Amino acid sequence: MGILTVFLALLKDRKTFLDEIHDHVQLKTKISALLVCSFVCFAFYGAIIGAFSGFQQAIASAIKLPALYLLTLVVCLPALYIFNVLFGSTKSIGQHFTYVLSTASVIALLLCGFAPVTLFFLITITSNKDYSFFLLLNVAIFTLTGIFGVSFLYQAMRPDESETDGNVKLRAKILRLWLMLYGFVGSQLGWTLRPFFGSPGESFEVFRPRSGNFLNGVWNAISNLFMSAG
Amino acid sequence: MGTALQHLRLSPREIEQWSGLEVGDRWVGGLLLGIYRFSKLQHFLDWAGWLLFELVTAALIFVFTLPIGLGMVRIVPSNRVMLLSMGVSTLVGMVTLCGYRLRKGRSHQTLLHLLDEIDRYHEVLAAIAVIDQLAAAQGAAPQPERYETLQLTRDCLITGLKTERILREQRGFLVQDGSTHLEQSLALLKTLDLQSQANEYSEVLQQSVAIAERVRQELYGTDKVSNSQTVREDEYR
Repeated sequence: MGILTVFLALLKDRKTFLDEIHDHVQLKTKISALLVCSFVCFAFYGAIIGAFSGFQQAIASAIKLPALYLLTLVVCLPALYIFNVLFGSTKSIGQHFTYVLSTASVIALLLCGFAPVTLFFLITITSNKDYSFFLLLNVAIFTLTGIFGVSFLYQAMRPDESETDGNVKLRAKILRLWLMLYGFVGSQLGWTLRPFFGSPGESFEVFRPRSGNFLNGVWNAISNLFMSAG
Repeated sequence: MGTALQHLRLSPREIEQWSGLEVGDRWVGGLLLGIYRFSKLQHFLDWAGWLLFELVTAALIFVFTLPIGLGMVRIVPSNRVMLLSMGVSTLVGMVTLCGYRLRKGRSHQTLLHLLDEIDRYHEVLAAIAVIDQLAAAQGAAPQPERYETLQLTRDCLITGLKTERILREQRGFLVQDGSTHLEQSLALLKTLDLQSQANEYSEVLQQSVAIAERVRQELYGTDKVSNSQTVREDEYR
């Protein structure tokens, strides 16, 4: 089973893919293939959004976007595993990792699906004036793909109602809380790793000085959009 | 390929089951932490694919060294220092990974050889499938003895995989503490053997005494025998 075969199996036959994770079938292969494929897809989309501000930013974003998603997973995974095991889950950490990596891969694929749209706007808009629009367009794309990915993970990892274990409902709650934590950590890490797009008229910088948080940034972008429209 | 030939194939699941390792077309034991099957790299494109995979692995390690870079920025606020620390960490990571793969590769040489043999066996199956199709087109009858030979080869390969797994998994026993274990086991066996020999010797003695008493009984009569038997038994005890 090669890298692409694993990725195609996730796309085409998701049920069998999830059943195989449940049965510990070729977990190492799946983990490796999902890691490599999601990394490549995220790097590709990162390069597109970074190209808004030039070549250097494209390279930086091609590294930073995979880092954002994959590091968020690694940071949040222990909490999910320990709480699940504590409340009766029999799944191994390898299985947990494969499930969350599958989610990252689904998000990466969806982003690649949106890549032509982003590329179209990147080519047609003028850099300086439409920076806020491009920024918000991508925030919308990231939110949409994130929601799809998170719902995939919830469907995949939700404890089965037929399980006789008394902690099934509790584990479902833990999963929901973890998904919120995942979103929160992801948005904060994204804010730490900015800029992904670069700012028009400013020189290239790998990271910006640390100030504010993710929600402040979105609010500022919305304000700028309306002020420039007015 | 016909059903009979399909049954003769060794599926990846079967190979995994008997070897205890995940096996792919080009690697063994997982992609990132497994061993690459260099015997499968025959064309320029294969080598280019391998090189690309190694580059992606290095980039992946670079991504995961980002926390080290962010930590360094807190100590020395310079992007150059951050990138340098990430680069060095990636280099260390790649060297460690390559060393690990190399070591693992050395200990799995037999398995790699067996997998090459399995590939050759599958090539033979594919060739036979084509020959059978041609024979069927000409109206010739299939040759069942050919399948028996293939079944034998298949059984040999399975035995090889199982034996290799046992030897690989018991290597710790054989190499590290094997000599001590074997010495102890040999000493125990010798003791048991000595005990067994002693028991046999005592049985032979008892039988000899019994025979001697019976001869004495025949020669001198019952009374003397009974007295003498008591004395002999006491001596023996």
